[in-house]
Amino acid sequence: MNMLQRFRPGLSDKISITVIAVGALGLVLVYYTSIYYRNIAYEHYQRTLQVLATIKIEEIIHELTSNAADLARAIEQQPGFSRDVAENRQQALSERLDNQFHQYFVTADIIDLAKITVVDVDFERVGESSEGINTGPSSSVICPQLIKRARSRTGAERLQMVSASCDHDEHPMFVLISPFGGLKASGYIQIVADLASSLQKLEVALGMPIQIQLENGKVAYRSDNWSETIADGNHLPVSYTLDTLNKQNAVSIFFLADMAEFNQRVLSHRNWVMALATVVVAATVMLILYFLQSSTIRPLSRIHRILNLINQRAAALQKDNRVLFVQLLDNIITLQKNRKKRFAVMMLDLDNFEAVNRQFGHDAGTELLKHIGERLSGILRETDIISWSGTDTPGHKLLPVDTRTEYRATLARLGGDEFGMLLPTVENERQAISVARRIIESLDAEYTIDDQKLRLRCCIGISIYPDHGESEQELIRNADKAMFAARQRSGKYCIYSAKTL
Amino acid sequence: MIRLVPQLRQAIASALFLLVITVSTTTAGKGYTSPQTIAGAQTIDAERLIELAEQNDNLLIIDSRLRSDRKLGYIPGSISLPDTQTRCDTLAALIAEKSGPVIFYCNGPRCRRSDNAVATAVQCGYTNIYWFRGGIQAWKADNYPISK
Repeated sequence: MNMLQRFRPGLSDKISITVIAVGALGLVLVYYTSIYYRNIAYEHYQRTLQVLATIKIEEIIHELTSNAADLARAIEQQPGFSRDVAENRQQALSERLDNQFHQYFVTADIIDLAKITVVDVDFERVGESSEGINTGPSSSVICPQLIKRARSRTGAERLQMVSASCDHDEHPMFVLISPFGGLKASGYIQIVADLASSLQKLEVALGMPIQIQLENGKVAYRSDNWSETIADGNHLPVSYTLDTLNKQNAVSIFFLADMAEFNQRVLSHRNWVMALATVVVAATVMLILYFLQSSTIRPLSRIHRILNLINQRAAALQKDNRVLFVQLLDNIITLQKNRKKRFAVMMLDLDNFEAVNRQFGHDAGTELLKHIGERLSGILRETDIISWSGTDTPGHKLLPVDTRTEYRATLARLGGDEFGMLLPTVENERQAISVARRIIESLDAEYTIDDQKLRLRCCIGISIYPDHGESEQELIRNADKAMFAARQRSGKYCIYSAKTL
Repeated sequence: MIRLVPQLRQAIASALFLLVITVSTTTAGKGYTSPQTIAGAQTIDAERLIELAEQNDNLLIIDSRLRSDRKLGYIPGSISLPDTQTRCDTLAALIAEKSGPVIFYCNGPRCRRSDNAVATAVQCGYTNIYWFRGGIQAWKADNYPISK
């Protein structure tokens, strides 16, 4: 908390933080975009797989229909079949049908036969195989809806082959009803095959684990690796609902599409993009910082810092002319040091000035300062500067630009009766003493403020840069010492001397 | 020999070339399609065929295709008489009277054989001729049973 309060971001910090924030936003966008696109791709893939599954399943059903029709034809064309039907030899017919379970279509794995029934034109049972699934009394009729529909047909339609998928005892079945006996049908052969077993071919055809499920949740078939596959999270479930006669018990086929490679590619692509984005953001930050640093940041940040400083210390500065005076002195030192030039610092003690302020008010004090300014302007050469014009802070005067030094001479009220004066053009003790004498002479004369006559007693201490100090503190301190020395000696002015003071 | 100027020879050559191209594209692109009706015969569909079979015990259904095509599946009860062998004498051996009902079929509307057979039967003076123009293609499309 304390740290946070203390942290004040500079201009470059703020710009960098902004760029990094924009970059971070970009990364978040990349992340979510990748998730979004992955979902779109999943949806698209899911639809494609559904179409593929539809085609494949239709192909399987078509093949099953064709095989069942072939089986029905094979049964019809057996020698003696028509006679057995015509003479209603049920026993012989049933044996004949039972034999089919040990012949080509079953033993060559062409069709997973569950039951064969032969009925007459009125759909009365003539013969039935008992080799297939257990057909108890309750489950003797498989797919009654189809039989009902086939029976209700009239005319030429009765000669058409019909087939459908339906469930029997919670098991998906395929039923085909094919007429026999030529164009004047003498009956129908009903072939029942295990649909789930045919649909298992999808597992190989699509190369995916599958699950065949009834609407009530009962699983008719499930690939061996179904459970472990669904658990690995890299698989997309796709479902297809088979068109069955009894809608209330629809057969659904689920696939698990392997998305591992896809996910890995999406992930690696996303990581690349994010890494690239990070590098770009970092490079952008560095570039921006570099350009700002070399063009605007440095001056801007200095201004920023100074403004901050001013802001922080504005109140103090307004009351403390000394700070401004010291800063100005510091600047002049830097300038004159480069030019290898000397200059003078003076400390003026105007006895009674504070008393005038107290006695006659601040307006009177300001009036008095105006007089002092006028007198000093008369004394100092143009190049010695000094003027009260260009006031900025009360009690502190920035004087006009001196063309030679490019600095203004400054007279600042440092507190009470004490004034500071910078004379950038005064280069030696002789000039300084000469200026000091004229100042004293002029300022000692009588003033008239609000019809009151009054006098100030002026006392000046002088220090010369760099003879009496190279730092602003040293120069001020030594000028002060000289001023006190002058007063003690009842003199008017004094130049600092390391030996005597 | 007639001497032709080169320009004329070139013009004739390009005209012949264009003619060949036109003829070959029209015949190769379209192929043969049977007419909707043949004079002297009644065009029927699969349902009418079954109806006729139920009504007439002495109905004759003639498969006009070659044996190789017939092996792939035929209408139950039909007998094979390829159009190449359809003549008045072969027909007479199968159909007792000129008014006896007879149906001709082949693979479908693009198979010319039943058209030929019907035309022959009309010429031979048969009066009760039916033509199942859709043939085995229409039969299979309606899920009617076939024999092999």
